[in-house]
Amino acid sequence: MRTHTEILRDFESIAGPIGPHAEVLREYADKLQEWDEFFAKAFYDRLFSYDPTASIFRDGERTEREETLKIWYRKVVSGEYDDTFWEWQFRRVGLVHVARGIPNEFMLAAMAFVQNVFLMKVKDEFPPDEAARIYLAFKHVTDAIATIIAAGYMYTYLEAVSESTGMSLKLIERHAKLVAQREYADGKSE
Amino acid sequence: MDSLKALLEDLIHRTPEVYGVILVTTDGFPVSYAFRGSVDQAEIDKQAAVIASLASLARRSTESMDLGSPEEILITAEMGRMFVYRLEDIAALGVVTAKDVTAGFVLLRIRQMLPVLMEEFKNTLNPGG
Repeated sequence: MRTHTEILRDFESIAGPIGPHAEVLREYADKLQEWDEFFAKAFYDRLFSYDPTASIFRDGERTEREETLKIWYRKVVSGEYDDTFWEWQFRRVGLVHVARGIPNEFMLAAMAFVQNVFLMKVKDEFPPDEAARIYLAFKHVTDAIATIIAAGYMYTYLEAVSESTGMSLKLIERHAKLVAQREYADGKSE
Repeated sequence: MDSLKALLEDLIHRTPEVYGVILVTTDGFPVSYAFRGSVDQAEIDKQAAVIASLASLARRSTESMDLGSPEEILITAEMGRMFVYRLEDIAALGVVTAKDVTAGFVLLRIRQMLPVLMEEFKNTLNPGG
């Protein structure tokens, strides 16, 4: 299984380094962290307004989830990321999502929503040049997080199948490749 | 690899009830195989992955039940039987037979071949010894 460090290195090699964007967020962190309540409300208003995402949550869970999201948001806009932060996104969030049946498409759509809300807010609160700079920084960091979470979900899922069945990850990958190659070949011949 | 194939072909030659035999790695790649008649390579690839999976599943199940590692898996289907053997932690063997096979006789032949096959396979992995 690949590690979060390897996935992060791939992300930075392909999409660009996180460091300069983290620096921008650090510069504005005090102001951006004030928006945690606004974010938590907007995020869960959206998730609770759509049945497939609303059904993931237990009754009375919203307050607890909002508090967790506020902590996550403040951490993201702090611009301070250590290895524990990325490992948490990779392992812990992946585990929670698999355990609760939250597929990657929900997470990616929710992250897109967070980025859109942030863009609207930052445009309202900052002059255009600054807003663009802050938004790009936030988008880059949250894109990295989404990449890590998506990979964490997939590897957690595969490890669970491997643990349960005794099939190695290489054997599972072999099955996936054989089916994909066959379906691709069938598609080409149609 | 020729010596492995020779062993598998010998089993088929000496045992008319055996239709085919595939030696696979534990990660699902075919190492060598012999069948009566022709078999599509894509089917061999697919069977190799399935045989490796059956061996893995059986091991997970028996070890969970404190039975130790499985020695043999027997599947009886409508038109035949399949025996699967896990060869230490590096390979698995699938043997396809007729349904009305005298199981004891075929099993004896297969079991006699297993240590020789294993030795040959190890030699191919590590030719220098």
